[in-house]
This record gives sequence, C-alpha cells and structure tokens, in this order.
Amino acid sequence: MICLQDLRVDLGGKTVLQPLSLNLPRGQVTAVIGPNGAGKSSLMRAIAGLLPATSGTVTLDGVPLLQLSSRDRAQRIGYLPQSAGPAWAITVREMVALGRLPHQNNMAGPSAADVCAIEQALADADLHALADRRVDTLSGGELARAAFARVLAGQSDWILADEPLANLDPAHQRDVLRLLRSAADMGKGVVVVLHELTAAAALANDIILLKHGARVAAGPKDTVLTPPLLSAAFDIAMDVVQSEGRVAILPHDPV
Amino acid sequence: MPRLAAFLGLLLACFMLSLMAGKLWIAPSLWLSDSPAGWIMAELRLPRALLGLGVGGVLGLSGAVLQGYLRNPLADPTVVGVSSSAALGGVIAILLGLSGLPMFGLAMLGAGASVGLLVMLAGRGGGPLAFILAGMVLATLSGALTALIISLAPNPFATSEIIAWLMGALTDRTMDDLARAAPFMAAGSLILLTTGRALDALTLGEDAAKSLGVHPGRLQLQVALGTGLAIGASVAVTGVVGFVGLIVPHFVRLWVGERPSATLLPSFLGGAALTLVADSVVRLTPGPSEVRLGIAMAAIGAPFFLLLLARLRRGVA
Repeated sequence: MICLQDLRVDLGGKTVLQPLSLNLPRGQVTAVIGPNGAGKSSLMRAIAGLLPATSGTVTLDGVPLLQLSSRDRAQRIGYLPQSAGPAWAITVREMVALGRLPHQNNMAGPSAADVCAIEQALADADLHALADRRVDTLSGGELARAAFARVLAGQSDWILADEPLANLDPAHQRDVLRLLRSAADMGKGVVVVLHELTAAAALANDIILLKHGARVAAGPKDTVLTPPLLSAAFDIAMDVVQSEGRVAILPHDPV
Repeated sequence: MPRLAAFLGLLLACFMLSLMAGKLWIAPSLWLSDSPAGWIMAELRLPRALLGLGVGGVLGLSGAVLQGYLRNPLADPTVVGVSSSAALGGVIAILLGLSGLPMFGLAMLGAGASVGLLVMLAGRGGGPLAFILAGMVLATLSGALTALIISLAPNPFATSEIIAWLMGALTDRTMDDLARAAPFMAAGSLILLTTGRALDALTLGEDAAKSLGVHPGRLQLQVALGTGLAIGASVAVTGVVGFVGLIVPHFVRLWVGERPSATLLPSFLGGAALTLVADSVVRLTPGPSEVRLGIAMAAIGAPFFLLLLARLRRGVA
C-alpha cells in the first residue's frame, strides 16, 4: 500500500499539487486523469520519490519513502516516464536489461535471476523477435513496448506509468493497456496517468481526477467518471455513453 | 570479451610501433642492449610511449564518459573547461619561468579549481545541462585568461614557448613526468570507470535514471572529479591534445554498440592506440623539429571524423 498524507508539492515557488491524501492499494489499477497542467505528472513523480514533498508524506507499506535507500526504492517502485527514446541506439535487450540495475552490483555481470527476468519481460511484452534490434529502428509502438518491458524487468511491486499511451495507435494502445491490466492482476500496484478517458474507463479500478493541482474527485471509477465531475474538471460538457457493458467518454458538443 | 582482446591487441601493436618509430628506427632486438639505441629506448622512447598510452587513454575514456553523461556525441574534455583550466595553470607556470614539479602543480591547481567551480556552478544534484553550461563558461573564461597572459608575455620567446606548449606534445618527456602524472591519471580513470552503470541508466533520461537508483549529485561529482584528475594530469605533462576524446568513442561504438558502459574501457584502449600512432607519425615528419602532437592529431582526426559523419548521415537519410 502506498499512502499519501497531505502531500503538497511546490515547484519554483508555485504549488503544483495541493495537499492530497490518498491510499493506493496493490492489485489494482489507479488512473490519474485531468486537464493539462493539473499536476498529474508531479503527483506521479512525487509518488516515485523523484520530486521531494514540500509538506506531507508518502509512505510505502508504512515506511516513509524518503527513509528508503534509493536502491531499495528503485527495486520496489518501477517508473515509466513520459515517452522519450533512449539517448543512444542500444538494443532492445540492452534497454530492457536496464530495468535490472537496482538489483545489480556495480561491477558484477548479470545474475541468472537477471537474465531470467529480462527474458520474461521480453516475452510478456511480445518483444522476442525484436530483442536484438537497435532502438532507433523501432516504430513508436515497439519503442513503447520496449520501455514498458524495461519496467517489467525490474519486477517491482509497483508500476507508475506516465502517459504510456501517448502517440500509440489503437492496436498498440490496447497492447499496453493489457500489459498494465495483467500487471495489476498479478498483484502489482499500478498507477497510470491517462489522457484517454475511454481507456481509463476500461482499464482502471479507481480514478483520481485532478484540476489545478487539486483533487476534484477520487474513488471507484463509476463514482468519478460522471458527466458533472468530468465537465467541471475539463471545462467542457462531457458525455458518458454506455453500450453493451462498455463505457465511452466523449465531449458533448460536436466538433 | 573477444572485442576487448582485439582492442588490447591493437594497443599492443601501436605501443610497439611507438617504441620502434622515429628518426632512428630501433628493432626490438636492440631494446635492452647496452648501446646508444638501448639508451634512447630507456631514456626517451619508453617514457614517451608510456605517457602517450596514459594520456591517450584518459582522453578517450573521459570523452566516452562525458558523451554518455551529457548524452551528447560532441562532448569531450575541452567542452567542460577542465583542459583549458589546467592549460591556464600551465601557462601561468611558463610565464613565471617554472617547469617540472611546480608547473605540474599549477596545472593541477587549475584543473582542481575548474572541478570545484564546475560542481558549484552546476549545483549539487544539477543535471547534465547545467553541467555543460557551467563547463562552457569555464572553458571560455580560462581561454580568455590564457589569451590575456599570452598578450602580456614579457618577450617573444615566452610567447612562442606558451603557444607551442598549448598545442600539446610528448617530446622529451621523462620518467619524472610519467611518475608525477600516472597516479592522478590512474585515480581519475578508476573513478570514471565506475560511472558505467549510472551512464547506462541515464540513457533513459534523468527521471528514469533516478527511479533506477542513480544519485544525480554523486554521478556529477564522479564525472567532474574523475575528469579533473585524469585530464588535469594529462594536460599538465603534455599540454592540450584535442580530438582524441571526441572521435575515439565514436569509433568504439561502431564496434561494441552504443551502451555507454560498454564503450568506456575500449575508449581508453582506443584513445591510447590513436595517440601512440599520432605520436609516431609526429616523430617521422621530415625536418629538424617535430610537428606538434595536437596538430598531427587534428590532421589525422578530421578526415576520419568526416568519414564517420558521412556514414552517420547515410544512416539517418
């Protein structure tokens, strides 16, 4: 369980996240949604321990995040930043192997457990055929899968993903959503920032809706994904369309 | 590992060449003999070759580390100001009529000051961008001060001595120079070699690297300190030798791939090999005086780099 207690984050003298208290349980997907500049990424970075809390605390299984060693934290929380390709044209396998860094000693080579985790992650993300390709030859969707496999290889209890669907076509969006879902079904805690509201409705158990760095609503998705709350947060009228047990979320006004 | 063995073999061949080559070619059978040839070997060729190996090695290694740290293929020790600050120290020493240990000390002082300023200006925990900007400020500042000192030099001899020294050379270096520089170059290299894993993580960006357990402040300190020790000592004994740190990592990547940690040791070996070859060429130039190593390096390096550039452009297009 990750618990936020009155977590506030200031950046450059500006409050980007108003005091927020939340409990994030494992074994489910929590989606963070909200308009641009709502503080979604800041929240994720604070939960990942990358951004210091101005006040309040983040605890992981009862232990404040700041008291964990960075290695311990890295082993338990995997973080997938907003998509940016690797700076160097390493191979897919090398990229996925980077996820094992928190488990390795500086000079030692990869252990049997490392190799096993890397192969498993490649298999889970359906990357075996691409394992020896250089990352600069991949399509956007393949690169997104490789980045996700890198986090999977860390075998962390938690996966925090910031806009993992950005720039992906529908088929690859579905692939990434399935990977996130199955990670949660395996017992990991998954927290994901999404702009695709329909995808959030399909994927998440709980939703956190933010606006201007403050919580508009948080809770089970049915209670948050309602036209009044969404309309208030996004400043345009939104419809929640139900059809055959599925949900689509669309702007009310025609283009 | 076979690739590392290939780099070692290449280096060994270049080292042998460097011992043999010169106005007087000395065959291996005469190396240990009690003759003028053996004397040249022990007093001139061997210290020169060993120093060339160390200097070229740290140039290649620090180039690979800085390119990895700054995620910029154009980085080398000259852009972060360490070389030029050490050179400033050396130039001040020449102006004061110092040589030997005092000159070495002043150059190391220059390098040390640049490391301190670099870390201070970039800010603890500051990212690579702050680091390179701070480095460029330092390089510009120490370059300007060096130019000022040249213009203030009391006589043309001092001016020409300073300019010649700035261009870099391994000529007439002794075992004393080697003994002074080697410990610093070794310590700096060891520090730089330990950055590999963190540089690999940085491939994914600063946030991802931090989430993988990398300490940005510690890494920055390692890069600054390792470069300062190794490059400071190398500049203190040979002056500024450019190009090695810039081009060697690029060639190494063609062989071993682009993962930063995989390029470190090969860049050391490759930098050493390239410097030894360039220094051998320098000795073979006709005429009474040698071409400066820095100039020879640029002459050898530029065409190779153009070739590489053409290759890269084909890859992009």
